[in-house]
Amino acid sequence: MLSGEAAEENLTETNPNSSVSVDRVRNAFASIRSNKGALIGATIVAIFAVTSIVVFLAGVAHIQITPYNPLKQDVGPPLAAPSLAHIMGTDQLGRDVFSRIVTATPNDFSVSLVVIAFALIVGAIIGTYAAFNGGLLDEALMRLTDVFFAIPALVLAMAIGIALGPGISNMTIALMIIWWPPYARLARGEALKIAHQNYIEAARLAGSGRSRIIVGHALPNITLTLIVYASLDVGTVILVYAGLSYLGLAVRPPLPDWGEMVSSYQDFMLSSPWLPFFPGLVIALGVIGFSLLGDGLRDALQSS
Amino acid sequence: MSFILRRLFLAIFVLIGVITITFILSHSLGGNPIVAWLGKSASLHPELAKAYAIKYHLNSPLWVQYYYYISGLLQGNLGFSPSRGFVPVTTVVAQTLPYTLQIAFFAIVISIILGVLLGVVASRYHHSPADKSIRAFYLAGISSPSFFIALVLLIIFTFEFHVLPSGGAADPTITSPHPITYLPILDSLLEGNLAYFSSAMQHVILPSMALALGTFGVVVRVLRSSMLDVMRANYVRTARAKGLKERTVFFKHGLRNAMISVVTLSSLIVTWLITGTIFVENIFSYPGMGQYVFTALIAQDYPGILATTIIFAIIIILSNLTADILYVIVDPQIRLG
Repeated sequence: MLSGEAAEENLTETNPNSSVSVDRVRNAFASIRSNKGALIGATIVAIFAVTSIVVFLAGVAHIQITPYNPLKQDVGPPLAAPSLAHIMGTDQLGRDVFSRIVTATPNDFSVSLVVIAFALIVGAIIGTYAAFNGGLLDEALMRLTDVFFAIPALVLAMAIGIALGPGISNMTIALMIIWWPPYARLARGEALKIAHQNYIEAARLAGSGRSRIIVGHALPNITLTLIVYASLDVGTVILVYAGLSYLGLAVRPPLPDWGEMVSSYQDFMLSSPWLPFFPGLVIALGVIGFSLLGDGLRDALQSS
Repeated sequence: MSFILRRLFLAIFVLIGVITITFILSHSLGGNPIVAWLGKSASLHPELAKAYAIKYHLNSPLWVQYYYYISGLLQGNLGFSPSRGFVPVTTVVAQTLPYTLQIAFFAIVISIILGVLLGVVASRYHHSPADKSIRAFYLAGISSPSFFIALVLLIIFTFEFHVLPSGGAADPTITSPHPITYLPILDSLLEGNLAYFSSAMQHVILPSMALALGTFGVVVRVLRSSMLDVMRANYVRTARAKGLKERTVFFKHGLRNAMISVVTLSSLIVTWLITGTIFVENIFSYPGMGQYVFTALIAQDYPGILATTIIFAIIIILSNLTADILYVIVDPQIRLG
């Protein structure tokens, strides 16, 4: 995975002009449609997104949409190999693995979207503000991001997570606390590049105040770059969240979660290797989907 | 020289920041760790819990705890590790860090060798089926959680083909080498203890492979794109015009220059590897710091978690620093004042 700094260079080098226009977005869509990798990525992401929404709505309405109740034990013989009745087999308690995997889809999906959205918004505001203000805030922000780049995200999230106690919402908070600094740094860099462009000067001459310039002119122009970075970053959040879940910090058994399933099923890998394999594979697929889509999005916006 | 000094100064500043931020985040949010440390005895013996709270300043304000931590740190005292029976954290670190350095070293070697080989093929035959399959291969590696890669390797090489051991650092029946450098594999080699060396190498392959498969893709990706850039550069055109063989142009003029970006990248790999050790060492029961973090986490062992975070950060800061310095040395065009 790329760290924020590398991605920042990557994006800023080749994306000198980030003004949003309808044409540009339209061109980007055309470019994605002709890009096979991006299409595969978009398909995977769409499948995961639809599954998440359907599972969530079904949960709210108390309708069971999975073939079996994911929490019910002995719906089949324990540790059964994949078959037509249980396409991913059953676990040690005779629960249907496929139903459990489907039920856990909204967890990873919602955590990554919430964390990324938060990082994007907070990072964009703080970064742009620092770029236009300079001074102490700017210096403090840069040094803070230096520090955050030196701590592996997972380790820091673990330290916060353990203090807050396990749970999906606590892990989401832990990730939100640590995820925004690279976005602020990227936003700051982008904002500095446009700070002296004519339209900003024009707005200034027209008498707009600083916050008006930031909200009305700077933010809309750096959003696209940030969104591309974010789309490449969703996969990283999924991986880190899966790691936290594997460590037992996310959901409490018997509720299913992908990372947790891999760790509790790995004890049975000698007799039933497919048990930890399927949840692990689903995590990898989700991440692949987002990176392909993110790559495609970046290429599309660069070429248009 | 002043560039290196400035980087060093920044590194120290970052380290202080890391310690402070980790300390604040892990100490200000939490509940009472005594229950986690002492288990049932905390409620059975309230006077014991009280004594521990006083001994470890748990009831003092945050800044007092921070003061004690920093002054201890300056004296080389990282506190005591509840998850390991309250032995000094420095002892645990001294025991576990060498093993983590070992797998990290081999993981870096494997990712660079694999990454450069595949990166060269991918750029030489770009847009060919070979290039595309390499992309699919590294995308799968980079996107898989390290615990998943570790399990797949374990299932294939240990349970299916029985060619490599399932865990541990070496065969426990073989006498381990005397500490010289404190890195067991290197020590066994220096001592001529070949039985330990070969056993340790067999044990280190799978965990470092598991880490490398997640990181080599970064090398492939960067080498491929910088190779494609370099091969379009003017000096490569000149070399071709001089009548040099394509092979010489590709390797001597192309690859050598493209490798500069791989050097700077090696520091990025380290960050990713370090995180991976937590899972990989646990799965392969490799007795390194990653496994220590894992047990420290479950036991709410704050001194252990803090110490490992700080040491992980030092490793990352040092590797960033090394990459910066190497970058200046390798590329004569860069002279940062």
